[in-house]
Amino acid sequence: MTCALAFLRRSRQRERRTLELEASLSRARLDALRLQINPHFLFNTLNAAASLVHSRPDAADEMIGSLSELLRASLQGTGSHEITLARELELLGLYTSIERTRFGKRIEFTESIDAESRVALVPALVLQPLVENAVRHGIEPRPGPGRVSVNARREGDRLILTVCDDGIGFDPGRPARGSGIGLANTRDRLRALYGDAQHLTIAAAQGGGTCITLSLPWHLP
Amino acid sequence: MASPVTLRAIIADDEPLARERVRHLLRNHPDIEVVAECEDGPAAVTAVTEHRPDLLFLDIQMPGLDGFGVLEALDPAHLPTVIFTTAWDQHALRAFDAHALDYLLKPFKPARFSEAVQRARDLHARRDAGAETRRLLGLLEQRSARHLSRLPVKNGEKITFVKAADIECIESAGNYVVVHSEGREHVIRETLSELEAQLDPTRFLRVSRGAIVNLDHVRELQPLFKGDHVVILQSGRSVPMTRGLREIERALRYS
Repeated sequence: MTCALAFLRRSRQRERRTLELEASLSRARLDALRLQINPHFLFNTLNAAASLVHSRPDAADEMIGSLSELLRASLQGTGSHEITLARELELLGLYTSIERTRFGKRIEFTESIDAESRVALVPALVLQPLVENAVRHGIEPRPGPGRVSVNARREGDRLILTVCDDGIGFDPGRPARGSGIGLANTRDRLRALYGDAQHLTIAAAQGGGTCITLSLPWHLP
Repeated sequence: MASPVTLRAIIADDEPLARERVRHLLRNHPDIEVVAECEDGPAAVTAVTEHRPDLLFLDIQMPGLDGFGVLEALDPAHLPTVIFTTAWDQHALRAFDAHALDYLLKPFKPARFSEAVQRARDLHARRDAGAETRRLLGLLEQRSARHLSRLPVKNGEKITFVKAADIECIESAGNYVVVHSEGREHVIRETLSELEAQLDPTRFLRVSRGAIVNLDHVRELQPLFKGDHVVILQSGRSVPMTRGLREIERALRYS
């Protein structure tokens, strides 16, 4: 009898430890998934800043400030995994201002955001890697200028985010430049946060290019 | 020591600021002249083909055609020295496979950049030295090709050939010359001066109005009275000389 009770207690302890371990693994995993600043972007930006230091010191100052804020947001693994869309767009603005300085008129960024959706919660830094993907895989490989547009709107209990580019387009048969880790990371993160209550779809954009659409459960802080 | 040779360079990078940075750092290297800048792969191929630069600063990720694609598209006979510039080192091994001179990770320090430029300079100095040596050798070959390598001699009805290297000496006999070779004498209807003009001057020396000797066959110089000397050939034949001793010694030393 005492033997059976002891066994039960030990088994419950094991179970609890397993659950604790799973929770901490999942947190670590989310933290890891969040570190998405691409080293390519990081070092090219530092190189651009090293150049601007001589020709346009104010622009260099601005660029280093933007990069630092973006890095800080990316490294803040201990904070909340979700932020308001308004804050998310601020962080995206840091990224796009850096890219504008690096590429000049070659890349144009536009936004169309429902006022209502700005207060909704989204995974922190969910848009930046998608926009960076569009720049790197859609526009950078192709000579000439390109445009990336970000849209957000509420559809009932869903928040719909889209990132579209008019670049070289999405071809499932063509191996992606790079490893496609960016998108796989985003999928993993969304699943870890929302389970099956989210969708990520990739489609060809009208008139060429690629559109990525996220459908997230609508919720507020 | 600054090299007086100017290296002509092309900068290929899709980011204007990255090109500006290379240009800025090149200000410390006035012997490198930027002849073109390109913002994508196809433009780089066109510019390199057109300008034939000595040096190419080549970004790897570029629109249209990446850095490796650019190198593959170029004529292998006219490849410039390549310094890859890239932000992330996942391509390093491939870059060395493509025989890059150097591989700079952005943002590179000015000192590291100077090191790469110096390597390019050294390489070109060696190449130029090599090219110069080849050009001189080519000239020498052309000249020796004009020199007589075999002397045709009439031997009764036949014409035989005496190798220039086998000629010991040639003596004048009026409108004829006597060619001494391998213990034999050949009489040729030609003046000594005419024959001298056809012989390699680094091998044959006119030691007097009446004689030319092959320096390879000289055994010793013997003094005669009054400061005159006589050339003793390996065959034992002696040829009087009227030319200065020092001149002959020098010719012997450097032939």
